[in-house]
Parts: sequence; C-alpha cells; structure tokens
Amino acid sequence: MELTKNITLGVYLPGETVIHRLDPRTKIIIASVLIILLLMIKSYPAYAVILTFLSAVIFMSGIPLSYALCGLKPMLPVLILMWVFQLFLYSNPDSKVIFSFWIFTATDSGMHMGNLISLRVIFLFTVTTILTLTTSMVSLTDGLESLLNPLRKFGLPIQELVMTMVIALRFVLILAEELDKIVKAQMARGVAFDRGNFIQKTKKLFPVFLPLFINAFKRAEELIVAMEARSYTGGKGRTKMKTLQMSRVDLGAGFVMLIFSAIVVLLIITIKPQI
Amino acid sequence: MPLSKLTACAMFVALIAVLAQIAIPLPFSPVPFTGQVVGVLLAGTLLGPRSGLLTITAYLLLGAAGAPVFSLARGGIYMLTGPTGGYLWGFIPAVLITGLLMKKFQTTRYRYNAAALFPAIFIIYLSGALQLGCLMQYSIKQVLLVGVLPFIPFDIIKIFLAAALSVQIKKSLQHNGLGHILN
Repeated sequence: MELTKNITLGVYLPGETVIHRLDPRTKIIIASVLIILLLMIKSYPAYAVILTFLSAVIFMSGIPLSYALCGLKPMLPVLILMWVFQLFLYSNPDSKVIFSFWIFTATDSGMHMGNLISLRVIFLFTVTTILTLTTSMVSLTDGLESLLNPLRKFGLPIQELVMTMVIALRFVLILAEELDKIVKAQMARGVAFDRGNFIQKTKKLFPVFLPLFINAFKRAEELIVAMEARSYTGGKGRTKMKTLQMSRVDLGAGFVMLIFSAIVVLLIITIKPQI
Repeated sequence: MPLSKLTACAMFVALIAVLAQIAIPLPFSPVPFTGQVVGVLLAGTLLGPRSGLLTITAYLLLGAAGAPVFSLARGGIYMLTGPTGGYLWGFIPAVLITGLLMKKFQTTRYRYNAAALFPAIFIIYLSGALQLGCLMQYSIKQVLLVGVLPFIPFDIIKIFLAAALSVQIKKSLQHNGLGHILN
C-alpha cells in the first residue's frame, strides 16, 4: 500500500501584481471562458494565439515558469500514452500513412489529433494552475460562493456548500496525518500491508478505514459542539469580514478578455480545422 | 440543513479526499487501485441522498478549484473536463441513487447495502465511458476495452468492502454514542 504524501493544499504564491489584485470572480469567469475556447479549438494558429496570451499572463503575474509547469511532470506518462494511442488508432479516409509495421499504422491525421489533444491538455492545465497560483483558496471559495449565489433562488444550498468546502479543506491534512498514524499503529500490531495477494491486501484496508471513519466523526462531534457554543447558525443574515469588490482593473481585464475571445472565435471560424 | 449534518458532510468530503490518496499499485495497469470510490459509495449509504449530494458536489468543486483531493493528489478543472472526468461526474447520480435505495430499504443489513451499491457503480461506468468515448472519439468496443472491462473485478471488491464498512461504521458509531451525527 502506498500513501500519496505530497498533498500540498492551496499552492498559492502571494504577490502584488495586477493578476493577483483581480477580483476572484473575474479570474474564475476568465478561466472558464478560456477553458470553453480551448475545448473548441482545432487548429495550430489558434493555439499559437492562446500561447501568446497565456505567456503574457504568466509574465504579468510574476510566477516563475518552472512553477507554472512543474505540475505537468506527473501527467507526462499519461500524455505520451495518449499521443501514441491517437497516432495509431485515429485515422480518417483521406489521411496519409507515415509508417506502418505489423498491424499498426501511423497516419498524419492521427498525429495531428494526438498533437492537438496533447496541446489542449497542457493548456487546460496551465490555465487552472495560473488561477490557483495567483488566488488564495479563501478568496477562490468566496468568489465561487458569490458567483453561485443566484442559484439559491432555486432552493440550492449554496451557503452550506461553501461552508462544507471550507471545513473540509481544514480537515484534509488533519485526517491525512491521522491515517498515517493508524497505518503505523496497525503495522506495530503486526499487520503486514505489503504482503499477500491482491484480495488479502484489500482485506487489510478494513482495520485502517474503520478507525479513520470513527475518529473523523468524533472530530466532527467536537466541531459541532464548538460551533454551537459560538452560536453559528449559517445561512441567512450572515455577514462577511471581507466583502468582494470589483474595481477598474477588473473592467480592464474584462475588456481585454472580450477582444481576445473575439479574435480566437474568429480564428476558429475562419481557419480550416487540422483534423 | 442542521449544523450537525453539515459538519458530517464536510468531514465526509475530507474523508473521501484522504481515502483517494491510498493506492495499491496494480501490475498490469498505470491506474492504481484507490479508495476514492469506496469513500463515495460510503457517502451514499451512510449520509442519505440529500447530504450525499451536497458532499459529492462540494468534493468535486473543491477538486475543480485546484485542491489536490482527487486520487493521487491531483486536482484542477481539467480532471472534470478531461477524458476521465466522466467517472467523477458519475459520482453525483451514483450517490443519489444509493441514498434513495438505502432510504427505501430502511435496513442496515450487509446484503441490502451491497445491493444498493451495484447500480451506483454501473452509473459511474456509464458516465465515465460516455465522456471518454466522446472526447477521445473511440468506438464502443475501444471504450469498453480501455475504460470499463479491466476495472470491473476491482470495483466489485470495492462494493463488498464499502458494504462491510458501512455496516460496521454504523454499529461502531452507535456504540460510541455518535449515532445522531448521521441522522
């Protein structure tokens, strides 16, 4: 059994740049528009435009390039596998054959398909990374709550949802530590997690999961008492310590984004797709 | 929604996030066996439809916002919009149907727990296969080969593990005087 140890919550690089100062709502909306655009793009020139835009944003936000891209490293094997899959599996009738051996045939349309999908993955990843690197987790959840607020009219519990997320964030690391302790305690009692076949290994998860759940609910009970003692009622009438406010910077960012999306949409319409 | 229920949901989100980090490597596949689905299935049987829905939505949103709560400490919107995102979207209807079935059964017996979990797994596969097939433009046969068939035995093991855990957790909570948290 392996535990992923590198859970780093909210990798956020504090800063004072224009990108950092944008309202979280503006950033969430811009990131969503970029994601939608990326899902529609099917040609190389449009990707070049997006690349220029993202490079400018990274430069303006003062994030070191290695930071923005380091998260891609664990995804690399999957990316390469996907590219090879596309190369051999995808083909349309009028595609040229690059080379072939045994039952595998690599076509140029397969290669373009692989390239475009890999580019899409890399860019989608970069967009979300820039968003989380320049926005703290608290302002991100605040922004999300404010954006989702209109849905409350339909009876959706938005306030509860955001509160759940904030509490959960606090407890992920605590429970991860607890899990580590339980695993060590069970090993001290003689449970050999790395021995046996697959079924036996799975059975050994039982004495780990059960105490984890019971301990988690004990902590929940303590939290409930603490919150009730402070008269937390949530929902209606709750005010915030920091309220979000749009500024001129957000207006400017929205304007730039509007022009940029128009250019990209124009490119998507006019340029013939590669595949 | 009462405060106790809300806190239980939040704790469950954290639990699913932590369970997703437990991985048993499989010899033949780059995708390891993780506890993520076990956590999701338990949310369905233990919390009921309404709270389960809140839990999963909060979990997915947290992951989408970039917190590394998905399996192998991954996170980000891409996990939901990418080729394997359908398996995550499927958690929402899966929890809903498990919760509703458990509500209908009105029992905590092992057999009924397991029975309520099979449709959940089926829905997760269905939604996962749909998104995988549409985004990668695979045929139905390719989707089955890449995204469904290799994982079925493991998911059946997960169902039995989750059902057994669900019975035992309820018993232990009652024993510790914490039974009211889930109700």
